[in-house]
Amino acid sequence: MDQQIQVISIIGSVGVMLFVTQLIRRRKLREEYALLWFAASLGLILISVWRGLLDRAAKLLGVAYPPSLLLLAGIAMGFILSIHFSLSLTRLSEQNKRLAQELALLANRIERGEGRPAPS
Amino acid sequence: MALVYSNKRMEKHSRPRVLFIVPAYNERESLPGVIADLRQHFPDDQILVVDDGSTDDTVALAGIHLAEVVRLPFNLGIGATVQTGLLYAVRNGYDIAVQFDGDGQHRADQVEKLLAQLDFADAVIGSRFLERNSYRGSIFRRAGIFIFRLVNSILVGATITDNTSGFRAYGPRAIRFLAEEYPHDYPEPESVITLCRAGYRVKEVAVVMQRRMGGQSSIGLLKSVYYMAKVLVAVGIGVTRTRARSLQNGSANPGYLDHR
Repeated sequence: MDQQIQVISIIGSVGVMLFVTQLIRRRKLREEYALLWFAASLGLILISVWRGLLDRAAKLLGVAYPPSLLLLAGIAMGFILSIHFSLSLTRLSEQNKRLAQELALLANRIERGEGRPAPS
Repeated sequence: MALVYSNKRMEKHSRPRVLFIVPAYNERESLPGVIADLRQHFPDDQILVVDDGSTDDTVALAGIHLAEVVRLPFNLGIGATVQTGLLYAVRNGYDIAVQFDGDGQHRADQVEKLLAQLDFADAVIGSRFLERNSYRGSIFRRAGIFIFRLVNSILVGATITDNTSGFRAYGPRAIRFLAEEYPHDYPEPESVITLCRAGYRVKEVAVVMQRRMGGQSSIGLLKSVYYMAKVLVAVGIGVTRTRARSLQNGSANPGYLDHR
């Protein structure tokens, strides 16, 4: 039984690792995210191969039930990432808005056949 | 008071350059009438239709040649649309910008009332409620207006009776300020508070408005509740920010509200 779950989790985390590697190879991930997800999948593999690691870490931090440490770490990471993405989205949509406005104003100037804006 | 302004307007050289900003989203029914109305009352001033990515033929309408058109590539919402007009005003050196809805609610014969007050304020809002009249919006709109009135009084210590009104005139300082930061959805109430807290003088004048001629209101029922919550959060947090920023810019003005 114990063997089974270990085999499954090793297969799973190696799968994640391969998936991330593939994304990086195809340049679908920006470097900053590539590094992050690469590290995360390495961590997963480490935990599934070295079975004592999670228990030790839990003991060190005074967590009674080791798997809950795993959950906590996962939730924390998800939370931080979500905030990070919200920030990126906000910045991107602000820039997107400004670009659309500038584009509209430029198009108008071209239609009017004007080279430069009137001095303000 | 109006006389001061009128005298100024008669002298050709000191006559301020006025830009009418008409935000339009699918307003094919009403826009020609709006432009004609403005043209009739203001034959020499620039009318700028900012088309917020309309999906109908708003920009191909008859009469549109009487106005300048800036067309946003996709729908950005009323806030960004008006801001585009303000950016245009800054870039092209206009002294005064009048926000005038494309749905036919606003009347060109009421514009002078706003302009007359610009000698005394940075922003003038056309109010339906300053004087008793028969205007009745939907219950949601009235509830919204009431809540914003309350928030306004608490935050900036003054009562703006019609803070959702999109019938406004801005002077040069307010134009430059708002071109840089204009709130997103449901921007009317928030921009009043932003302006006040940044130290600009905001005034209200009573105006008469028309019933809507066509097009859809920019906000539905559920959405208005959602926007309301959003704006309240934005305003609540903004309180801690705008004060500091305005002082940084050195644009703070101690007597920031004239309306009493």
